[in-house]
Amino acid sequence: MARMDLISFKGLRLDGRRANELRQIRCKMGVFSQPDGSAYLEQGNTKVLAAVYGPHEIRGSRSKALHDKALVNCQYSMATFSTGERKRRPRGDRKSQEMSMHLRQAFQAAIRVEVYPRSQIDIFVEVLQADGGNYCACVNAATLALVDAGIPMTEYVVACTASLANGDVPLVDVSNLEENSGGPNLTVAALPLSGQVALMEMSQRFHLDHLPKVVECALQGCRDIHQILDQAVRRHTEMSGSALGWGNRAQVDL
Amino acid sequence: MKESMLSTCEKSFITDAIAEGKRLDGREMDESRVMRIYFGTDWGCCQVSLGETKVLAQVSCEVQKPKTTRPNEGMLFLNTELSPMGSPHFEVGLQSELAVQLNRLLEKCIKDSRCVDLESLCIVAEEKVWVLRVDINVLNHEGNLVAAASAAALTALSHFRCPCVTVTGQETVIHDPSEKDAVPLNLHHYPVCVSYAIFNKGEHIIADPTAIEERVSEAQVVFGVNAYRELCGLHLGGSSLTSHDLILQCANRAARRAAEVVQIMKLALKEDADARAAGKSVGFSECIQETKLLALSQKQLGLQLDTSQLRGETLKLVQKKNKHIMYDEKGVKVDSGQDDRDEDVEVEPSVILLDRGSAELLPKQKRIKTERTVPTEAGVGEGGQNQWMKIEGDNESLDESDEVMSSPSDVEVIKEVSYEGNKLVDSIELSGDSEEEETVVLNAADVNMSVENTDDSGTSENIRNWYPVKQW
Repeated sequence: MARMDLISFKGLRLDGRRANELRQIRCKMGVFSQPDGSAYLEQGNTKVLAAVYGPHEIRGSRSKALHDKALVNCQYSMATFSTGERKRRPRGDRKSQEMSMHLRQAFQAAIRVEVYPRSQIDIFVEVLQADGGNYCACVNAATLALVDAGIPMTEYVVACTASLANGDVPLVDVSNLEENSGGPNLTVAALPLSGQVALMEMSQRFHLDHLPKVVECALQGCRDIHQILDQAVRRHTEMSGSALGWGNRAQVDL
Repeated sequence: MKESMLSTCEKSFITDAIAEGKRLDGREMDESRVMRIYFGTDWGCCQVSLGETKVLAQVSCEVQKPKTTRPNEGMLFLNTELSPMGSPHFEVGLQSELAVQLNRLLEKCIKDSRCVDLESLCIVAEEKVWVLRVDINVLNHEGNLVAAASAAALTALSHFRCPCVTVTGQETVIHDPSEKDAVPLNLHHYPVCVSYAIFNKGEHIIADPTAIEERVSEAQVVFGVNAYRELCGLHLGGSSLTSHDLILQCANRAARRAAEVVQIMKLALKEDADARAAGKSVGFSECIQETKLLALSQKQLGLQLDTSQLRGETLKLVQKKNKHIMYDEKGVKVDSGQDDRDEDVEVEPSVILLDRGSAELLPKQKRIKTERTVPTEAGVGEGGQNQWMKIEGDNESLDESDEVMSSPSDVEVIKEVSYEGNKLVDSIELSGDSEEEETVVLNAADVNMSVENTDDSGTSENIRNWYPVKQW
């Protein structure tokens, strides 16, 4: 497989970014009316929708109810038109099941599940366009949706990918092309303010000595994304709160 | 069947023990269980046992059309089966979470790291390539499946032989292994998986967790590392948070452990190759025999001795053994006291610590003085000497001895003990409250014996062979 230079000698990547630049993130909260919380997030060309239902009574088998915690249920699904070739199975194949599991692991660590014993929180994520960093975009969108639903969390859960170019330059937020050209790919889902890691995932191979700087690069990416998401949440709260008059005033200023 | 619930006291016990640095099976925090590799008769069949966890891997190959995007590479498929044989809570067919996770981890580690040279599997580009299938079966789940499975898969791949193929013009001939030797696969490197379990919000990390430790742990981290310290796969997940420098520490330890595992694998492969070349019989039957437990031939009997009074008791008993214990007519024991002590053998039992929780007592005999010497201990299967026979005739011949046997119910047990090094030859007399019967095997040497028993066989004066002589 032809190995393209992931970073040119001038320091530019294939899409014109620098090594430590994230892709452009655009997001919107409260896009649906039915779910308790929803969000739409674009990270570069990757577009993801997230919906959160809950907390509600456990559906299905009552035996799964945990007496002191809420059950977190995640489903990861890719639309059939999301990838270059039409996807035959949007959900239920191994990779999707694995992603669902990883989502659940990441959020179980951050959601304050002790507040809702014997209940269930559902997180549904749909990938509309997959261009690398699918899992990260899903985690970020799901965080926004959870905030929109008002479910208490210890912190924002933010995910970011990082890779290594030319053997020693760490790149942040890899796109599909960079992923497939064979470089190693590290995905980190972390709580950025406390620096705790909820999930870490790596594929391909690279030398152990490079691991610290790639991890650090991914964590820095998480912190940057956290700022962006935080601003988005505040903006949304301002807009929706002011439209309802903040619950204080009797009349709304139009 | 649903997995049995873990009780709260079990959970808190394990968590508290790990907080103190202790593990349930006595291992150190970063100590792994012993890994053993066995091979079957076919090429590419191997079983790895990591403690009690046992995983079987089998490699098979067939010819197929290659993928259009990669016309000159073979293909490798990994499939992990968690059948109910491994654990009662595994369900048939259903892709449980653990199965999915295991599959994905192994795929990432072995397939995505390109450890098998797929280009060498090409026969005719764009038309025929070898497709390898590695089927992994979990035989017993006792924790750390991913490490055992990855080792099994890699060893099976290294062990496998692909049939030789010759292409002549339009024809492709696949040769039978009897005609032409099969060709081994090309493995660039060996990415083994090492797993750790995290407790107490990232404060404590243990290596190679057992099944119950995995269930209690808050998070697990799996490193796929090869011998060159290259990271081929990493997965950290669970319901708790960890700090990232802990991960980096673990990564270094994992690299060391991976190098060890690769050594074990290479050694096992080499031994098997030598055994096959020498024409010895190979196969799983060989490995099963080793762990069989026969009545008289055990590696070691794990006895838990109540050592509180043991030392004092055994000192007394061992000294008594070499004295005459006088019984008067009524059968009441008369302790001969300390009169004969200087004549007797000086016996100092030395306690040798054998293993955790058990110890052996070897009487160290500086000088052996017996009137009625008896031959030394026989090997396994021959048992000890007959201690029941009353040989009247011998009594008279020993009248010259100073010790007088006042009644037929005298108990005198004399045995010449000789041993090399730590060989367990002698036995420990336990207190007379034991109700076990003695099982003694007769042999020719019994004729020379003159040991007599008391009529009540339950007394403690009879030496029992607790430990066999022969060491495997």
